Amino acid sequence: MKINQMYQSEKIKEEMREHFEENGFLQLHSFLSNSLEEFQKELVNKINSHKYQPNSHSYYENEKSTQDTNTLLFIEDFKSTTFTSFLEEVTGFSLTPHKSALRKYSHKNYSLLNDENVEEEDFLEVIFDLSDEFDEDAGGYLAYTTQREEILYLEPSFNTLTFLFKPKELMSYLKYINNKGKNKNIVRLELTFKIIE
Amino acid sequence: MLDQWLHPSLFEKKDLLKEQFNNQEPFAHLIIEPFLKEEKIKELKQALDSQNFDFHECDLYEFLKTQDFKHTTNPTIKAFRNFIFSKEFIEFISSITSQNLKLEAGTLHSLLLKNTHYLLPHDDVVEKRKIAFMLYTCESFSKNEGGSLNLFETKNKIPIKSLKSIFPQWNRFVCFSVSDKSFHSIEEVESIKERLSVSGWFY
Repeated sequence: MKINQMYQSEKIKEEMREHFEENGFLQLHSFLSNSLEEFQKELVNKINSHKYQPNSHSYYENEKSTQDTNTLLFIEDFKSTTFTSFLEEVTGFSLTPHKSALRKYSHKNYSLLNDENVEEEDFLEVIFDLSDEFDEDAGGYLAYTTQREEILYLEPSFNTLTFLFKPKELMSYLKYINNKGKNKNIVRLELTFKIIE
Repeated sequence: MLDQWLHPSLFEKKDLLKEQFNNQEPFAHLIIEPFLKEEKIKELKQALDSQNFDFHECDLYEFLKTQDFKHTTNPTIKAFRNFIFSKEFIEFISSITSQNLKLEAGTLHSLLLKNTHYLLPHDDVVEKRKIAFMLYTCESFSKNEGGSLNLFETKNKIPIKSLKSIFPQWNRFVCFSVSDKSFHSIEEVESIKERLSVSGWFY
């Protein structure tokens, strides 16, 4: 994992801390300095296990039992001590990796709001995005909502790291991808980190 | 009242319709076509074309919808609503569906789905709703144009997969029992055709 040098400077880290403290979330574009285009194409082909419950979700995941070394290392990098320390430095939380899933969303995929998915504790949610460029009318954005209103929308964005403080009552859904998103893919590593008191 | 609106072929089929309703998979439903007399559905379509539709969207859907026609001032739509919620028609549907429907007006509105619009799987269960219905007032859709009403098979009250797809067709009426098994969706429209219907619920 080669984190963009820009995000390693103390001045920028201070700005990131301030932004996170104020907004509870942060997006870092061009997060890795590795060349990721070919790897993304490989992932698109590898993530092909359809997870479908019609009244809840439709998307693809990689089969953990058959994942190759490259994919495994990619996921492990985001659960490593180095990356966790980076997050701790910016968020001010003490963290430990919790869940991870490598997912692909394409035409006709979605995830719905579901009371059964409400977590029992607060988490730091972390998403590393390797998505194709998406038409803004194609859907595919991730919406975060409280019981009263939608408060945040995350559009697909290649080589972008997003992390946000997710209180247990905050829910999210992935907007249905319509035919304007045909032949496009959202590829994301989705992780949660436990916040240690 | 019924013979003013309904297609004459329907009256001979009543017993058959009752049998069909109860024997359908994945849950009780019925397709009736042609439903209205041709001159009536043409008048209705013309009246719907003059209505205002508002855009609605959330995690579950994207479509255009009118207000409930309860307060409509359009004489054709008002007359159609009076027919749909008339004692005669409610008794007709009650008899076919073996449901004890209330002799009171339910909900009636028009739904318009254009290219990219959809409605994802849900069961429609809301207090009072017993029978959901829709009448298509648009030209026929083929499989690659989307817009089908998909009915889902359930296992332990959880939808598993779509078992039947009913495509929009001019003057086609579809109704089904609302229950914790009645999971259905509208497939995304992938066409320049407009999927126009009137729909609602009997209580």
